[in-house]
Amino acid sequence: MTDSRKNSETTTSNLSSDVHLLPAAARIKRRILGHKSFLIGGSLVAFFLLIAILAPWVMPKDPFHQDLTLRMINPFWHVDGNWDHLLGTDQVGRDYLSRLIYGTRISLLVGFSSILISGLIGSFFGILSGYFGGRLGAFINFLITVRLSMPMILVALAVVSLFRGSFTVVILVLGFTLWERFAVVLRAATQQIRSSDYVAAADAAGCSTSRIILSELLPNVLNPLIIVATVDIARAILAEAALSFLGMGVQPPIPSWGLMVNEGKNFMFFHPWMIVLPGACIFILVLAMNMLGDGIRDITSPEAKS
Amino acid sequence: MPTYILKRVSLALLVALTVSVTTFVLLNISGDLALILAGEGASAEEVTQLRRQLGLDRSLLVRYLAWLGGLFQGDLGTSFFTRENVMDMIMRRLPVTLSLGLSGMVIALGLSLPLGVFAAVRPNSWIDRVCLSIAVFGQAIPNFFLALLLIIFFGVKLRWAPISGSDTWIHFIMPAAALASMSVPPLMRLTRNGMLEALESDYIRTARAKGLSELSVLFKHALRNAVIPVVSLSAVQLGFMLSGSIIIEAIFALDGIGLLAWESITRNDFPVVQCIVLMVSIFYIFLTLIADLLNAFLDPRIRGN
Repeated sequence: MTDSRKNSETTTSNLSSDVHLLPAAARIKRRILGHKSFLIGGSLVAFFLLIAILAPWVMPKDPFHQDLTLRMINPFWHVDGNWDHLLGTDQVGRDYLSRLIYGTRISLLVGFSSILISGLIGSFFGILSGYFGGRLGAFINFLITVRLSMPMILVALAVVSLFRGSFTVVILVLGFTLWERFAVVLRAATQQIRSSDYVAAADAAGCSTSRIILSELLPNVLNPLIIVATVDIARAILAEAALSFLGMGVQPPIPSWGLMVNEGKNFMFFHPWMIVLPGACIFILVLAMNMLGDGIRDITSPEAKS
Repeated sequence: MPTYILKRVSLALLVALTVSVTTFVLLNISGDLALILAGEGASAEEVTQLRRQLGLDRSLLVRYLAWLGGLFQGDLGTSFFTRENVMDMIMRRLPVTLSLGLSGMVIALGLSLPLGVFAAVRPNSWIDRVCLSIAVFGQAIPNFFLALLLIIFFGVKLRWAPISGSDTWIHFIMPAAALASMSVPPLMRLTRNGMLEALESDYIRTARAKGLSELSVLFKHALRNAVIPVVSLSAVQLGFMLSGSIIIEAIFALDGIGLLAWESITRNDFPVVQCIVLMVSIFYIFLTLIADLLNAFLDPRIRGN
C-alpha cells in the first residue's frame, strides 16, 4: 500500500520558475509569496491558533453557562436574531460563539498533543527502520502493516468506551494509533539520506552511529517530518471530531466541535446552523492545515510537487 | 510466482494472527469488563460471580487460546447482550455493509477515474482546477458532517432520497456518497498522475502516430497502464470504507455490521466488538493481499523482490 502511495508522487521539474542566481533565502521568500494556498492556509492556521490561545479573552460569554430562558436563539442573520448572542445559543441556552471559540482550543490541543506522541513513536520506528534496515527494518515494516490492518476508528471507539471517554484518553488513543504515516515517510527519508555522501563521510571520520543519527540525519529529515506533522494534525482533528460525534470522545459539557455537531443534529431540520457552524469550523481548520502542509512541501522541495 | 504467492500469503496470515492478539489484548486490558457489565450498584460478590460466569477469571492467555480455538471451529462466541451466536448476528448484517462498501467504491471510482483522466489530458486547465478543488474539499470535510448535510439538503429539503433504512437501492445512494467522499481525493490524484506519466510515454506517441482516435489512445492505451496502481489503492480504500461505515451506518440507521459494532460498543457487548474488529481487519488484509498478487501478476518486476 505504501508503494502505491509513493507512485502518486510524480516528479515534474519546476526549475524554470526559479531564478537560480538568487540566494537561497530570497528564493524561498519568492516561492512563499508566489504560493497562494500556503499563504491562505498559513494565515488561517495562525488565526485559529490565535483564537485558541486568546480564547478566555475573546469569548463574549461563558461557554459553560446554561440559561434555559435563552434556549435556541437564532444567529444574527435571522430576523429574530439577537446581537447579544451573535451566533445564537444551543438547546440549553449556552452561547454558541463562545462554545465554538472554546472548541478551537480543544481541537488544536488534541491535534498537537496526539501528534506529539504519534510523531515520537513514528519517527523512532521510521528512523530505526530506514537506518539499520535488515531484520529490524523488516520487523518494523511488519508492525506498520499490522497497524494499517486494524480498523482505526473501530479500535479507538472500543478502547475509548472501555476507558470511559475523556480528553486525555482521546489524546492517548489517537497518539498511539496515528503513528504509521510518520514511520513510512521517515523510513523513506532516512534511507535516502543514509546513502548520501555526507553520511558516508561522517562514518569514515569515525563518528558514532548515535552521533550520525543526531547531528547528520535528524536535521535533514526535519523537513518531511514537519510536512507529515501538519497533515497528520489535520487527521487527528478529524478523528477527534468523529469520536466526539459518536459520543465516545471529549465528553460534555466540554465544547468539542464534533460533540456540538452531535448535539445539534437533533435540531438540524429546523436549526441547520447548529450543525453547519461547528461542521464548517472543522472543515476550515482541516482544510487550512492541509493547504499549509502542501505549501510547505512545495516551497521546500519544489521537485516533489505533484 | 509460486514462491512469491507463498511468501505473501504466509505474511498475510502472520499479520492476521498478530492483529487478533493485539485487538484481544487491547480490548481486555482497557477496562475491567465484569465491573463495567455489573453496573455501578453491584456488590463485590456479584462482580466476582459475573466474572466467573463469563470466564473472565481465567488468565489472558487462556482466554485468548480458547477464543482462537473457537474461531477455528467457526464458533465466535455468544453475545453478552442478546445471548445470540455472534457469527449469526454478523452474517445477517454483512450484506448491508458489503452493499454499502461496494456502492461507495462504484461512486468513488465513477467520479475519480473520468475526472482524473480529463484533468491529466489538460493539466492546469479549468477542469484540472475543478478536480483539484474536489480533492482538497473531499480531504477536509468530515464524512459525518457531509452525511448530515446530504440528509438536510437531499433528504429533507428536496425529498429526493430516503434518509434512513436499507430497504431499496435508493436508500444506499446518500450513505454511499458520504462514504465515498474520503476515497475520491487519493484515487483521483493517483489516476491523474498515472495518466500524466502514461501520456508522456513512447507507446502513446506510437499509438497517436498510428492515427488512432484520441478516445482509443486515452482509454484503451493510456488508462490501461495508469490504472494498475489505482486498482491496488482501491482495494485499500475499500478496506477503509468498511471500517469507516460505522459512522455512516449509525447516521443513516443502516442495519449493517457498522451499526452492530456501534451498538455493541455502547452496551459493552464485548465478544461482538472483538469479532467485528477482527473481521474488518481480515477483510483489509485479504484485499491488500489480492491487490499485491494482482500487481505482481501484472508487473513481473515486483515478483523478483
